[in-house]
Amino acid sequence: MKVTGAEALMKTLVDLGIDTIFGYPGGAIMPVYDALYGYTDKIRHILVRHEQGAAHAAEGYARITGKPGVCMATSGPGATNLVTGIADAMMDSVPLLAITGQVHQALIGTDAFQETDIIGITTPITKWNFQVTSASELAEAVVKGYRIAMEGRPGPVLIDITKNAQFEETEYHFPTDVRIEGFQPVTTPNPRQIQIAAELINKAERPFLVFGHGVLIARATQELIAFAEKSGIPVANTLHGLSGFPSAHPLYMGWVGMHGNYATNVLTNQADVLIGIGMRFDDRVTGRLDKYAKQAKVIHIDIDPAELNKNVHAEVPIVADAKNALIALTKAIKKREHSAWIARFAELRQQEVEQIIKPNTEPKDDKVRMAEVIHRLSQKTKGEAVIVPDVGQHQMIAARYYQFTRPDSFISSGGAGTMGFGLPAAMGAKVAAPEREVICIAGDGGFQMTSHEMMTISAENIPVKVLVLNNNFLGMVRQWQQLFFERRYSFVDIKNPDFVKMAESYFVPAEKVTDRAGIDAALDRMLAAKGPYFVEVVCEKEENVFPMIPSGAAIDEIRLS
Amino acid sequence: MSQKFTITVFSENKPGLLYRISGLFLKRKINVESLTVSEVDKQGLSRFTIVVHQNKDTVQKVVKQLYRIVEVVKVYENLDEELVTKEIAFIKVSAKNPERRREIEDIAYLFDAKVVYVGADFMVIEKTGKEDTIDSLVSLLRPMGIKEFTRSGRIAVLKDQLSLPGKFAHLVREPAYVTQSLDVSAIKKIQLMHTTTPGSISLAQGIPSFSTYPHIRKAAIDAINEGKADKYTSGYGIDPLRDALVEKVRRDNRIPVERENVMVTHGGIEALMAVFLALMNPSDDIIVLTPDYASHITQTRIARHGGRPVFVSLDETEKGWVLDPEKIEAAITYKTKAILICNPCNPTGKVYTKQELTEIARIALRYNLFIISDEIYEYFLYDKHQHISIGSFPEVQDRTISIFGVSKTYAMTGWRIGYITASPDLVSQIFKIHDSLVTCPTAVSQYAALAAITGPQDNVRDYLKGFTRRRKIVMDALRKTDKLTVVQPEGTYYAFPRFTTPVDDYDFAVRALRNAKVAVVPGYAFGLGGESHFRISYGCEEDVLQQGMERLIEYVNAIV
Repeated sequence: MKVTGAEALMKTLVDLGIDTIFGYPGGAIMPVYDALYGYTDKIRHILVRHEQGAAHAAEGYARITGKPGVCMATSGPGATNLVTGIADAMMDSVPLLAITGQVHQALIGTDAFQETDIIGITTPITKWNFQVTSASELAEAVVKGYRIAMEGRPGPVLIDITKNAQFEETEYHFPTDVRIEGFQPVTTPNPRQIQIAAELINKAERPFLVFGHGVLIARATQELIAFAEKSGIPVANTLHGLSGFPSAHPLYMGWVGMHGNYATNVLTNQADVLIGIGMRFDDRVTGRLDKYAKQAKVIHIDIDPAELNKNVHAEVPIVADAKNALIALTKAIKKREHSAWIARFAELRQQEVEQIIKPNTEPKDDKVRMAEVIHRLSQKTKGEAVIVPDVGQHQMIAARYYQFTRPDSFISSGGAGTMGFGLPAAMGAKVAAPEREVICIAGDGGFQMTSHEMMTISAENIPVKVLVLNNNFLGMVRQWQQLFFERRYSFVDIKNPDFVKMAESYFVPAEKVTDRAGIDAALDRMLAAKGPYFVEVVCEKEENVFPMIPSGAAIDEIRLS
Repeated sequence: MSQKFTITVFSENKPGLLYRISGLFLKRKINVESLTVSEVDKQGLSRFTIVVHQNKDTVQKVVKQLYRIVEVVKVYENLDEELVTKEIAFIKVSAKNPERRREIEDIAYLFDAKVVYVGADFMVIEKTGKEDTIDSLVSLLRPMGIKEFTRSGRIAVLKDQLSLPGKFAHLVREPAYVTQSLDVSAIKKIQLMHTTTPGSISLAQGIPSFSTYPHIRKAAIDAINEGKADKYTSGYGIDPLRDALVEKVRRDNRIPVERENVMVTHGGIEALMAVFLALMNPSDDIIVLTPDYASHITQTRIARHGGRPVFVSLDETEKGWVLDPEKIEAAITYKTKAILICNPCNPTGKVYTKQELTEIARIALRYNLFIISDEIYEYFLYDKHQHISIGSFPEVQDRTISIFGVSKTYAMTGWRIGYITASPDLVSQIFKIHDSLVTCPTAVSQYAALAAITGPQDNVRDYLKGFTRRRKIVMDALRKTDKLTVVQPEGTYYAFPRFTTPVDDYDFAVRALRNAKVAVVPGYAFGLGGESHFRISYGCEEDVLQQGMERLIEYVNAIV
């Protein structure tokens, strides 16, 4: 049966099981949108208000489902507006299928209207990209892109389709035999390496495990718990690993990194064996590299061989999917306990509770702390909500004070640190998990970067809850200016609109809280709302996030104030 | 430390790959010294050759990231010594008058460069070669005025065989490249031609004509009848044999061994192969003192994935074949791992003096090398020459592997029993290879060897007497021509005459067989220093030998 390229695209997406697209139409993608008109029963298209929102929404969607999120835009500015989201997905290993229209093949290179070399632009920030110039290539390119995006270490793929390829007719068959010669990710661990790792673990006196996003991507949280319980090893995670291990579990020690917990950071430098699983020893985790875990023998498990020995020397590098590696390791190790070692975490943890956690969750004065808002939100939702922060102080506070009980509940822009990520990503997450409570937590700065997506959630009736913690500052930059630039507050004192009126203008019910007494009721109303809901909490202007590892310092030089 | 690396990338031939690959270097701000791209013979693959100056760590990280590119199939990163590299340069030089032209031509000649075009007032020189040679040529031509200069950038091939995974694997359904690159040994080749040439006499293969002594045969038959030969023995050999060998080696070779120093093998050849495989990495060099037994050369190549050994030839003088220690030292590089000697030497009949062995020991100590000493002909010595085992020198005992056997000594070539002595830690490593090759030496042969070693030794003296007479036959015959000169063999049962004027020794050997019906082994098979020689084995019966030598000398006198 002959169909147009545009229709072949629709058929391929449907055959791949894709039912949601976040997009925005335009000239060079009109044939595709025309075909989409006949597929609205099979594919839900969500019209965003800016293409960046489509990319982030697709990221949020992908991180809940584990399948590639799809975003679509036209050529030129439509395509370039996706770029930030694609780069963000690249940094955080998010499977993304970005589809862009392109001018007619005959016009390429002529500076035609809305012509941009999106293949050139996205080459360094995609796992793979491809320009389709003929309808006959389309199905195979999309299937190949879908697989590359999802398999191995996930990442974004961009398919650029020239207008003629959308118009042209082609025979459609779903390509079942797509061969990708150079792309054969290793997913099963080398048994010999597992053996060596197990021997190290069995002999370790002070072993410590830090896991990351890879464990969640591999859907290996149960396997991780089984490993931890057999080995008796204390567990921590990176920012992206949050929610991968139950907060209340006796082996859970917290998280590591610049604003992570005190005990986990300090004791990393006292462990004799450090196991890193599905994480990449990012500079926000290691602090000063030449003083990071030098005493420890490192076992590093990652599916991407390029991550092994990139930053930290691994005594035992293991290329594998986290799930397979954990199953194999659990079999190979002995049952052990490390109570004395774990007690040291508890001691340091107590110090952090007294100096930082208590004063922030139960403040003595009447200034509202971000921490107490999150603390109450955590209690009210029993730690079961999907938390989608934006980027900044509130992001770190959300990570620190929300007590996660379910996996895939913390969706954040970690690697790229993209302000404006929160609201559209929350939208994508809610579409993927309508049964779960999805809460976007934003600062007053980042919220304004993509606040137009309030209209999308309103128009599409996507019941995302939006909680803006407003301190009238670009808080994280202000904190650095205070600590490292002698309080020279350069362009961080931000003038804000009336957020409540703004939300209401998008037809989203909204309220503002200015004192402690109002917090509980406002959060209750927000959680009870059936549709989207907006709450602004006015917070203490100069609250700082602690603990903090100053940039360039060693992790055990972490500051409590 | 920054080094010059050549990164070779094989990728699917798709648009945009150059951009993706070069982008990786851009991202890390690595300057690319040269980059060439071409399609390779395997359909649909591109080959990128990228030269960078970088430290190894960074290069390895880049290589891993190159693998992240979906279309990339295989990446190699190599230092210069692992590659054959060339580039091509065109240099347009100003040449206004005939003198200048001649001068340029002279320089081009010196550099083995070509003049590819001559214009009214310029010449274009083409030079293909190493980068630094091109640089030197350019600097010499610069004063004359270079009008234009272009160079291609490096192209390189790996010295080792490269392999491509995935869909291209099935194209390589053929034996290993090493195997294919090996010649059938010249000895075997000539022997084969001999068997198909009716009426020909073989002075080629080194088989003593004597028969194994009856008491040895009887011991074997007894062992069979007593059921001792039915099962595997210890891979190291049966204890009584090892103990007998300990006694023999202590007595005759003066090497202070214990049982754990000794391992019995399937003849000397298996012992040697196991030693080479156990000691040599593919990139390690081994120095072979030549002319030397052809199988040594083949075996070291197999063990080292086809890598050729480093030949250091002995000097052929009136006094005999003489070792020049300076030549050995000059051949040693950081890759040198071992020195191999054959003492007494097949094919030259050379017996190493104490002084020469001391020099070898000194060099091995100085450069931390293994010594592999093949002493299969230890008992066949003439004119009061004495066999000294280098393994008996205390300073090199821990690094010397000595190889012995019963094949030649007791006329037992068909029984296949040899043995090695070395330090116990080396023996246990060599054993791993030995175990994979043969599991254990043939049980029945071990009992025969035990009888040979422990029984009466008259036969050794008898054989030597026989060989002494045969040597005289050979030497007398050789004196009848002035076309050949020969160093009188000090040991073994080989003579290695040389033509006084150079000839193609392989061609000679083939024609001697065809026309004079006598088979000898061409000297080239024995490595450097063997050219224009041939080897006569005087292991055969005296009357056959006599007749063979007559044919040979007659033919030599007739042709040259």
